[in-house]
Amino acid sequence: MPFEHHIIEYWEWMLPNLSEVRLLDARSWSNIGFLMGASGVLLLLAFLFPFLWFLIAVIKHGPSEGFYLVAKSIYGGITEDLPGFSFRRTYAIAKVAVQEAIRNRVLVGFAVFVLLMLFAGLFLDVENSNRAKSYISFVLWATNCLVMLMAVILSAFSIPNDIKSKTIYTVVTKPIRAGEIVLGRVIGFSAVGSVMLLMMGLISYVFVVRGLSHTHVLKADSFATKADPTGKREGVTSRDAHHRHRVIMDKSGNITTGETESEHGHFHRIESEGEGANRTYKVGAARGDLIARSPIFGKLRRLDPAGNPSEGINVGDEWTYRTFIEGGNNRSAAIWTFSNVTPERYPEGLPLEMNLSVFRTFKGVIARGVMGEITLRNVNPDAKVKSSPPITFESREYVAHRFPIDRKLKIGKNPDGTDLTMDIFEDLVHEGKIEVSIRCIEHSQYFGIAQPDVYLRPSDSFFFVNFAKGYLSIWLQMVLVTCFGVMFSTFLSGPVAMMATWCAIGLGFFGGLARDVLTNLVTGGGPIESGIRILQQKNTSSDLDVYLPLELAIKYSDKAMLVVVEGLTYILPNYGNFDTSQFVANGYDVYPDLVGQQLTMAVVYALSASIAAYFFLKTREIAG
Amino acid sequence: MNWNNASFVRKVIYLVGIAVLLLPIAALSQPATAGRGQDRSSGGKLAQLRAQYRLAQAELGAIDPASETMKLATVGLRGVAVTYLWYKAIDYQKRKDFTGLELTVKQIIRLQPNFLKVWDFQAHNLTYNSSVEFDSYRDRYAWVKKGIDFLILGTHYNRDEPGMLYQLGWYVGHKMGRADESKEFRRLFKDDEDMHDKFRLQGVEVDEGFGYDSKPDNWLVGKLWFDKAERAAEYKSIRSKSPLVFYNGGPMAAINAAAAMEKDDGIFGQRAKYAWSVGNAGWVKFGNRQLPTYLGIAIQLNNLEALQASHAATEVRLDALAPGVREKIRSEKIAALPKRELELWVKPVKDRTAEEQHVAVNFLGSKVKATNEEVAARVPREKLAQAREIADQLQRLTQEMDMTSRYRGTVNFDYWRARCSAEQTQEALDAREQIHKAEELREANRSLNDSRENYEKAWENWAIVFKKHPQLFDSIEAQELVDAIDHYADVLGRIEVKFPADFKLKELLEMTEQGQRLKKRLDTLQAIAPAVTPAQPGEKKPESTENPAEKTKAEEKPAAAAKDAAPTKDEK
Amino acid sequence: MPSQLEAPDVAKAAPASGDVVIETRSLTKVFRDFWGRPKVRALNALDLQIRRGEIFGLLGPNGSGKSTTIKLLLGLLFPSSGQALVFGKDATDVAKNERIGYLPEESYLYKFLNAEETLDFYARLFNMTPAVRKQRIEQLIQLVGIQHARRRQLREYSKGMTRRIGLAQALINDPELILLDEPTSGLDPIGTREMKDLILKLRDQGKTILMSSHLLPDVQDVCDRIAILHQGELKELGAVSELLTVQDVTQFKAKGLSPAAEDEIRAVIARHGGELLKVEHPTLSLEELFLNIVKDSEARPGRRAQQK
Repeated sequence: MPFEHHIIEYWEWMLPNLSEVRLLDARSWSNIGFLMGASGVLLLLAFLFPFLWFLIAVIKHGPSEGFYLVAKSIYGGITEDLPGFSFRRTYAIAKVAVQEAIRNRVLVGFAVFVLLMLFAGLFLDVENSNRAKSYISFVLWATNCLVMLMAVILSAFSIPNDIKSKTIYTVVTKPIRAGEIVLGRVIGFSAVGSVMLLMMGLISYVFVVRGLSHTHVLKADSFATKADPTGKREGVTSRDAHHRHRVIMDKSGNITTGETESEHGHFHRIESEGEGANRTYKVGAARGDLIARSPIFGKLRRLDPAGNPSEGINVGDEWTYRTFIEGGNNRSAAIWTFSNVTPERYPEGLPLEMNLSVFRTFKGVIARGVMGEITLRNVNPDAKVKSSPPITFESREYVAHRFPIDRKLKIGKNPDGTDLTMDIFEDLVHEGKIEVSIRCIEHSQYFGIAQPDVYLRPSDSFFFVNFAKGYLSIWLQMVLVTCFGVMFSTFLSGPVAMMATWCAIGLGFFGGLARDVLTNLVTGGGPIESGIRILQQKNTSSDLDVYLPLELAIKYSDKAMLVVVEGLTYILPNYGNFDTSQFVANGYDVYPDLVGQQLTMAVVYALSASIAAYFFLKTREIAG
Repeated sequence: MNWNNASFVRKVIYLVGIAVLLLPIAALSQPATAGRGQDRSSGGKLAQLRAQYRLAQAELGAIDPASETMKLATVGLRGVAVTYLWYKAIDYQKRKDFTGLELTVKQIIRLQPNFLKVWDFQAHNLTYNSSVEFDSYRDRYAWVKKGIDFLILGTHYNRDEPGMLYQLGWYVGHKMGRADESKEFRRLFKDDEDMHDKFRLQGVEVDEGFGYDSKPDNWLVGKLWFDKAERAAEYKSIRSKSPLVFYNGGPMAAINAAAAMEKDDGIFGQRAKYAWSVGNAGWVKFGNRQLPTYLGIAIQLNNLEALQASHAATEVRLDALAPGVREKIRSEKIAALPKRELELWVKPVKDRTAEEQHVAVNFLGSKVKATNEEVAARVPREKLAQAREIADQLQRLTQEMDMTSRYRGTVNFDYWRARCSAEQTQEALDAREQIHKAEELREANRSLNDSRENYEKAWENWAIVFKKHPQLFDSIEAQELVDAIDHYADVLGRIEVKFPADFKLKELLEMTEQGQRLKKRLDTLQAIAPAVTPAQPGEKKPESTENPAEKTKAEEKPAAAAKDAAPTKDEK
Repeated sequence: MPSQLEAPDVAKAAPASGDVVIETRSLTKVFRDFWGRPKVRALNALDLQIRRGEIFGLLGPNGSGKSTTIKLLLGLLFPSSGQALVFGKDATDVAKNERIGYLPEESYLYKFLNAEETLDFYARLFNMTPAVRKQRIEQLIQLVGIQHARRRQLREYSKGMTRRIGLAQALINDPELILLDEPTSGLDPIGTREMKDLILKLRDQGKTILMSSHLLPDVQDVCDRIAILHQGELKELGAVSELLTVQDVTQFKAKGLSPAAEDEIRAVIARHGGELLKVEHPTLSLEELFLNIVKDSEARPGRRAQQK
């Protein structure tokens, strides 16, 4: 995969893997699993907030009175309000919230979006070689920003406006619970946002599809008159949408593949009619750019040249997502183990697809890719047939290299002259598992791999569905923002609630930075130190020229602030986790486990925020 | 109208003030309009200044709406936005997401179109750093092209910027012509109609850069860009580029075109001669150009010999004023040498070690030399003023000579001058053609005898050329000749002929490391007496007497037998 | 349509029967500023009991704590000390809201909804079946007289109309207890009259009404018992009739008396040792005149006043 992607299965994500957790290494804490992590955080908050509340009540009313108040509120909340929850009332609030949103002209946001789409042509680089990716990224990003903006403004001002204009008096004096007020608004605004999102999604889809559709003209005289040594002749299509395609005609004068060569991430089908001088070609629509691959991933292990397990070699890249294996006459290999390999699922053999990186230590043969070989191996050490003969291939970088392996592999000739073959499923698959070993065979050249780079691609999902999944992620983000907006608005005034929600979003996106600064992954210090560096125009590695006590004071207060921020990042949702635009833009299906994880996270956060909002509203003096 | 109301009076005054201010603002900032006749106006003062200093976007209609909109949309935080985009670009590069990099770079330059360093850096990034990440040469070519397209876009925003045009010439010429994939790149360039059209739109007449096959040659087209840069430099500063390097671009492109024609395309004879003559003419013109130096004086590269002659003549004049003084000073200085150095000085040359010789010549030699100032100081009283004047003149000449020779060294002036004239000689042309043919035959493994003949004719021709132009020894081209010699040995091996003892270019072999290795290998196989002192080219070496049987065996596999302990008798 | 345009009857002193609907025990409210320092002592140890079926008036000048009391009883404010009980339960209990109706000082309603939507929204907040809900919405629209503007957004309503729709939402659930905060302030005489009649009618239906006002005549006309607050403290509490009746003065109003009869009565009074305070022709209250003229005008449009 061209983007960094770690496949985490749903239960792996959910359940703890305690052996991997090291208390002092903050980065390993994610191994604690969502279930335990979220429960831990929520329990902590469930004790912390009532405790703080108790302290405030004590100050106001004295210890026993304070305790009584807090306990009564919580108890009352659980025993009375929860059973008394009524969907009817919630629906009534939601309906009013929707009417409020519409009549307060929130459609302006939608109008902005349409305008943006119209002007997008100015901003988007139409000559980019991966237009699908840039268009899709753009629409997803634009929708995301606008919808979040709308959600924040709607949700942050609603309750404070009610309180300020006192319209809430006539509402709270009806038998409505605070929870219903909160939830009603959340549902109402989410509904409005959903409708907006739906419309934006449809318009975006049309925009992307129309923007990418084009065709070319191919004439019979566009082919070279002289054939190359293998008898092939090369031609080019007309230049449309800032690119051309090469077309390869074989010896017999036909276009063997029936397609143009891939250019700018797509190709076209070609139909030819007529013969000889009257031959005409019709170039079809672009294909292969709006796709959603559904890869089946395997588990990777790497071997070093001596055949021992290793983590791979770093050839000098800063980005350590991929590591490299050495080529040549050694045992260095990357081995993927695939499970559930059955003839029913893959009737024609293994539909392998590779996204390898190549590193050459010397140029070698420039006009050709570095050669590698694939061997299929049996996981069963006692099997009769241990491996297939090596299948050589020429590596191709930066493209998803489709390399299907036939079910029947030729291993020689029978005495009577027919081919001796082996069948993958009968000979090499053991209990549904098979190993695919990939090696580089050129000496001193390297292949770079990461686990999601090689996979089986039996069939693709629909692009439209994947696109919708991208929008689902945005929808989840919107719902979360609405919840948090409403929560903040229950105890803050309108503009302050909006600021708080923005900060929460920002923290969600940039929280990782606070963590990185604390663990010294990123140099440059915390807020105060960075501020000083900016003003003094120093870079991140030079010393601060201040008195030592002052410097210590700065460092410690920075650390304190960063710890608080880091704490908040564990409580607030990380919106980056909800971003699936990379998948959609790069043409990979958003796999179900990820959707499940996002839904789980969203539900947990939304519920927590709503419960918090309920308590905040209930304990608030409305007319005060 | 209540004139007594202070607030109302104030408002009226403000309005009048605003209206009055609008007049000068309009005068200053009225944009120029492009158009014909009546419609055309040069606009207000600012627009005129912009046109005068050749800053971009001075005319309505030439404004890039996307760029302007983006600049406005950043509401004054353009610096912050650009910083963020740069971080994103670096991140994309780290993750090898080159399409993302390209997108981000395009966004950066929309925000900062007139910041030349941005264009410079990112064009370089695309052309050099990103292109090499791709494995297929076609992809690399595509990315080099992207860099070039990017720079052309830059020239729209920054018209007639010599540095940028120079960079374009460099990419079209050197990046395509000197890369490891140069053969493929040049071939792709020839057929790249889209790029040719684009160049034509920029005012670069690609048709004037046709190679031998009436298709544009990348070097010659690069030269056209260099020429454009030179024309732009006539009225715009070349900023921080060195003038020496800047004006060197064009002539070198012509020379490289000629060299590539012979090497890659296999065109020799009159056409090659013509190409070299063009290169030579360009080089001469370059040599005659007035180049400013950092000392403030301007030099001409061609002038060195004239300066040296002038210097010598002036020295003679000085000596005429004070006869004998120079030798006297010299002997005084020798006498004043410390004991050890004096001993070394008087030691005869043949008794010195190499290191001592080196020290004697360079260090001691300059120590005992009499400077012109010293000579001038000892001139008799009445001629002192004149002597001073001459000494000053000599000083200036020395300075100029110094700069000239240094600059010459920077661009390897002597070598190229020699090469230009050498390549035009019949011997050189023939030699190249012969080697080319010989190599061709060798690759095809056909007519190996013809191959050998061609090689040997080539060696003879080369020997003549080297004799006339000994500067040519020390160059990369000479190294490539050693490769050819290696192939020659291989051919000899195949047809089972022994390597000639009177090999004409033995000196060449000794000049290079690779040649020395080759020579050693050949020596161990064929018992040629290794030369102790550098021999004159063409000198005959004593033939070795060996066992013919052993010889044949040894010649079977010359490459593999490097470590073969085939007994050979060395004969001194 | 509007009820009888007559001079109001003397309010019947209805017996306060039955249970205590509202009770405050030493209810105190101190408003604090951000730092917790006391700013205003809005209510000081108020003890009050309101029984079912009576119309209770809270009287006092501006800033005496009337609205504060009502807000405390509704749970919009929390007491600083003391208790506020409604139907025997704490005022912050949400379940009691099912049985109460509240008309705030200004009708704070959502301006972007129209009358029907407003009533529908509030009705949904109660436990009624859709049929009942529709019925009540219809009823109330008729009752308060805004049929002609039922589809107009509330931002376009006049003050009187917003008051009426506010009243409608207060009655949507047919509450047992109705709290009215300054119900007649800002209304024109007709509106005031209607409001007062409605309040009386509600009382006749057995509901309890608590109203606060500083418009003394209105309170006098309507309330059974009143409490007078001043600077947060209860200054007077009791039935209107008792408080207002001047005990030792008797007032006769007679029609068709001749001057001779007048003299005879004067003599009777003197004979019994009473002091004749005043003999005169009573004046209509301005309200009565106004209402008569309006009624007349509606009956005979086009008639103009005669210059006198």
